[in-house]
Amino acid sequence: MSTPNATTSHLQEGLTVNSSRRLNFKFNGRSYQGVVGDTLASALLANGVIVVGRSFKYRRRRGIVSDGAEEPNAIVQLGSGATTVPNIRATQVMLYEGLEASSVNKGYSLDFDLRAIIRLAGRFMPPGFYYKTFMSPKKLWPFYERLIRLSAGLGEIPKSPDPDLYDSINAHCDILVVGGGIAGLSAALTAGLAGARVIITEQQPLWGGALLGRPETVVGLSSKKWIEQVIDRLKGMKEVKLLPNCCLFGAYDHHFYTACETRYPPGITIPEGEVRERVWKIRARQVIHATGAIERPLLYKNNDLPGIMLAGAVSAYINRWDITLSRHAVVFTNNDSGYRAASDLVRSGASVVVVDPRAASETNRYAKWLDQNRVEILNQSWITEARGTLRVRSVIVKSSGEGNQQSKFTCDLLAVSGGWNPVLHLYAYSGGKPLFDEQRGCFVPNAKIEGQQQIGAANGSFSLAACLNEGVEAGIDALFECGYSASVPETTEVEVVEEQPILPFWRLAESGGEQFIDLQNDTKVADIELAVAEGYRSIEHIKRYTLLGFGTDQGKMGNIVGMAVAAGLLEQTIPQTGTTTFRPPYTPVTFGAIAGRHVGPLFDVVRKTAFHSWHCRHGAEFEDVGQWRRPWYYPREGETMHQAVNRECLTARNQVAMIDASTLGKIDIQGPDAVTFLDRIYTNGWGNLKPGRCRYGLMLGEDGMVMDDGVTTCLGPNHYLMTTTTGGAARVLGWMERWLQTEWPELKVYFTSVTDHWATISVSGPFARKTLEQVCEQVDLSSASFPFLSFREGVVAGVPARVFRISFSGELGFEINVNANAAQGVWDAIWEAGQEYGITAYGTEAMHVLRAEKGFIIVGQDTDGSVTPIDLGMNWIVSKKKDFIGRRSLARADTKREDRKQLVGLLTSDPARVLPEGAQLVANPDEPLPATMIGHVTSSYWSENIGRSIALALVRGGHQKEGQRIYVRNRDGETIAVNISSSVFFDPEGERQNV
Amino acid sequence: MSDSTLLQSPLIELEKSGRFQWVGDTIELHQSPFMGHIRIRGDLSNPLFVEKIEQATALPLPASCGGVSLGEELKIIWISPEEWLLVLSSESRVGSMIDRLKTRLEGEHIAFADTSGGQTVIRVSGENAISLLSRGTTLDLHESQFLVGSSAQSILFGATVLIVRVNSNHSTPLFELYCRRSFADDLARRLIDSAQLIK
Repeated sequence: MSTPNATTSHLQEGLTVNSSRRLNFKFNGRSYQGVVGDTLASALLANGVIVVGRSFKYRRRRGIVSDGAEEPNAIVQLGSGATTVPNIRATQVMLYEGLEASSVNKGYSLDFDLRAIIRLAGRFMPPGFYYKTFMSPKKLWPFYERLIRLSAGLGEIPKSPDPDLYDSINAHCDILVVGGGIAGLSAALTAGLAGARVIITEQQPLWGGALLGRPETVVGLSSKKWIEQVIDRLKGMKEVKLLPNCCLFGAYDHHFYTACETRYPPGITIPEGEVRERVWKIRARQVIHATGAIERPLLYKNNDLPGIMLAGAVSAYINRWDITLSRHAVVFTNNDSGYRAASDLVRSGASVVVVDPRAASETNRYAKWLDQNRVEILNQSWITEARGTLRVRSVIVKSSGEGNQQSKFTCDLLAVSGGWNPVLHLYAYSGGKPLFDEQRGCFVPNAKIEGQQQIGAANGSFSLAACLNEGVEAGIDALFECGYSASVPETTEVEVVEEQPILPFWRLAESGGEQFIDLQNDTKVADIELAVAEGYRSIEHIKRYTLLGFGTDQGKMGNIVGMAVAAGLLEQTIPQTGTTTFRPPYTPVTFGAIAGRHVGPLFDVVRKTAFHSWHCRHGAEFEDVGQWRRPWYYPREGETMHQAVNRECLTARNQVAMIDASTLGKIDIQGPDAVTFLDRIYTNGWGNLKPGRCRYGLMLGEDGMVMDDGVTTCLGPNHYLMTTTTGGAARVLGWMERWLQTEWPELKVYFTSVTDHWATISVSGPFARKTLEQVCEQVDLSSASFPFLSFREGVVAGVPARVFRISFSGELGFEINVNANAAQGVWDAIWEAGQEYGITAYGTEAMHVLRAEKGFIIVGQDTDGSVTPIDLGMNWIVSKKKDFIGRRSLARADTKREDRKQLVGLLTSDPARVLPEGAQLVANPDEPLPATMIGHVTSSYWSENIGRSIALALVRGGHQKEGQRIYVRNRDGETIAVNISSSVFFDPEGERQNV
Repeated sequence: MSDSTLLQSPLIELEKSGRFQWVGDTIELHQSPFMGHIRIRGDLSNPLFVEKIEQATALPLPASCGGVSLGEELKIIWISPEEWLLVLSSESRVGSMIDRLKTRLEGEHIAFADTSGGQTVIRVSGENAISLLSRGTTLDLHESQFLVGSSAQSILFGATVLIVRVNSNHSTPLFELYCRRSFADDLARRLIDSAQLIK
């Protein structure tokens, strides 16, 4: 396997029950002891803890009903402080020394709950209770809401950051087997023997699935021995990866699956540097779902009493954990698995009564054995009611035989089996539509999904022999699809036990009272009845109205029962009613696991320039621009941001200042058709740009809206260097390649990104030339031989350099491009040379102020994808002589409208007032709200150079409104008067950059 | 650039005594800084282009997806149908190589771009090298799928990276990661972070 590191040995220790090794734990503040190998649920049962929580809505006492992921009642909060987790199923967490758990719904205590008393008084909270009850008076809603919020939710989230590490990994395999029961192990073994790359996941820490709770004989071995042997063989295979304690929770297109491996149980303190959970992102060629089945409950009055459990869980607690659950048990079952629980109960010393709605069968071997062991079997009988307060004490049984008699049986445990639902979640996540099988009384996979197989109980094949055989067959099929030749591992001889067919039934018409379908959300038969009576027809709507299946367990136990009940009420068949949509995750996944290592400093990718360390050493505060980390400003000791930016702006205008401009995108363009290409991609013409000269260009989308801008330089014949905005670099290169490859393949031109190769230092200010003269060789920097908007090659501080005379500040400015590996020495030399002129480094904030003083736009700040060059007042850059991308759109009626939002300057009446960026503009300050908005502020700064605030804005018809007074209306209702001005606030003639 | 020029690799913040390396029990990371990286653009259907490149480099030009030609001092990696990365052992050899290529292909439609300052190489080796890289990329790096002497461009820990599998030793696979300068520091930090999770 590609991931040999993920050992789970520390998790494998202490998983099998060892009653000589005791573990201390606390539940709801009380101390208990369990043993190694216990789950929290088994330890609680062994301690005789029957009530584990209150129900969500009616606050009824509830007990453990299952031994797996379907558990609706035993939901606990584990641990405390930063690592607490609120929605753990007690049936799925392995006990550890010092475990502390509490019920997420326990009220004041499990014995006393105020809301339980409210329930007694109110008696009845139907679906839609909140909507119906709290609708009026409207003004009281905030009060109601506070009350309702108090009772909402399960458990508590941690209040401080999670200190633990979570990992994630991509994995690939030929064959993914989901589920480590007998079917899955059999498939994995078959695939592994042929040398295929196999991953097998199992949500439990132990392998074996249902066999753990119901030992059998497999191929002449005890099932425990068989599992051990198979696991040993699989471990010896280099290309097989075993992932126990790993719940596969999502299936997506193209055989992409996600699984979460629990390395340490929730709440436990883990060693430094260890990972708590790991998400596996698995891409497989073939997938085998061996996900087993979940037992269904049955409906009768008070079917939620503590002490009522699923029959399979009863067997598991007796066989796997050796717990004596009962002295007097009743088993209510419509299929043979209840009989197995009955025999397990008998063996553990209980007296047992079996209630079975089916007629007696001569051939039922389980019944024969039970009969021999003096178990009373009541055929053609139903339980109509369970009685008891703290727990089940008796049941009322009705027999359809002679006289329709009714009898009462006392008991301390009621084991129930209404049949089994194959776990088809992954099949359904992949788009599969399960089919209802009347014979087996359950949904089974229907149309085959490419590359997927369901086997064993997940396929509705519940016998041991079928599980083994389907595992082998699925393994061979998958191997064949992957191009491996396979052989059957060995003959699999398992005794086939004939079972008496199930008699599926969903609801007794005469059984009244509170019959719960979804225990976690307290959805009752009466709720479905009400929904249907109120006109709901679609199962999806009934689900949402009654909250059926909305709990953290997603209704694994009760959903199918609820759908069947709805089908009955709607007088439809179950297939006509259908199922609700299954959605991942299969069981809750922590946010920590989903985030993985993308937290703290690793939250997002950070791109750094060659000068990053220098910026840090000089106290820069940083700003994220895309993924780049750019210096924002460089505060000196005691300086506020405002003071630092003012100083940087003044120095750039009056002395000399330097900025790291390395992040601008740079694209090397070569080829005989380079000029033709530039002419088409930019709005302005490039035919007459001579080598050594630079020009500003504007790029539009097909819609005529400004997309990017930058300076492009002619480096030599057929050779250009384009610069783009920092954030637009990748997009622009992709845009250019798209046009070249799909529309203009005849053009001979190549583009190569050189953004990272060149580090860029921009030097501005009246002393820029004097500063550079000290470090620059082979370039005459004088204005006469090196005019504005031109380019020279030379050497700066001993490093070959491209020197550009361009400026984004409107000052005399040079940009120096050098190989990034050698750039720090160049920066240092310029910094040194500028000292006598008071050089400062400036960040993006000062850069923004300086450019705004000149009215230079920033694409993406002053434009938003709906702005044309005409809107920006940049008609001068739009060629009338040639075609270019976006040109046609500029001729559309809408883009020619005169009342489009246009770029203008704004000057506040109070020069000290700096407008908020994004503020809305109105013409009439007295217009009642909502007022007619005529534009918004795009850029706004304090300009220390001008001595007042300045702003740029997009205003409807703004170009015709220069001098007019309009108003900013702030969110708090304040009105600020502003005058529309030119968007150029400083040096309108542009003299300074040409000196 | 003169030999006395001070060079700084993009991993300068993580270097100790002028070198970047991270050595664990089953994973090692080393940087190969200051190599020569030339991007070559050209047309395979132009026989002159292929011939002259192969003459100048003494290596066959890989023509298929992900192909890599390995020489003593240099390497050519296929990047896209008309793009190759020519890797030289030192940045100082780039100028003369580009001159040589340009002279031989005078008048042809080709492009060479020096990207030596914009790229670095991080070498990942050790028995858990694949396990480490799998934490950051969706590529299947298994020896049966990602052959020795092949390459692929993909996202690795959020950065665009060209991955080359160099040797054939299964127990200690060796990969070269060609990474943009601006992403290199972040990539190295993420590699170290994940390597520390692998016990």
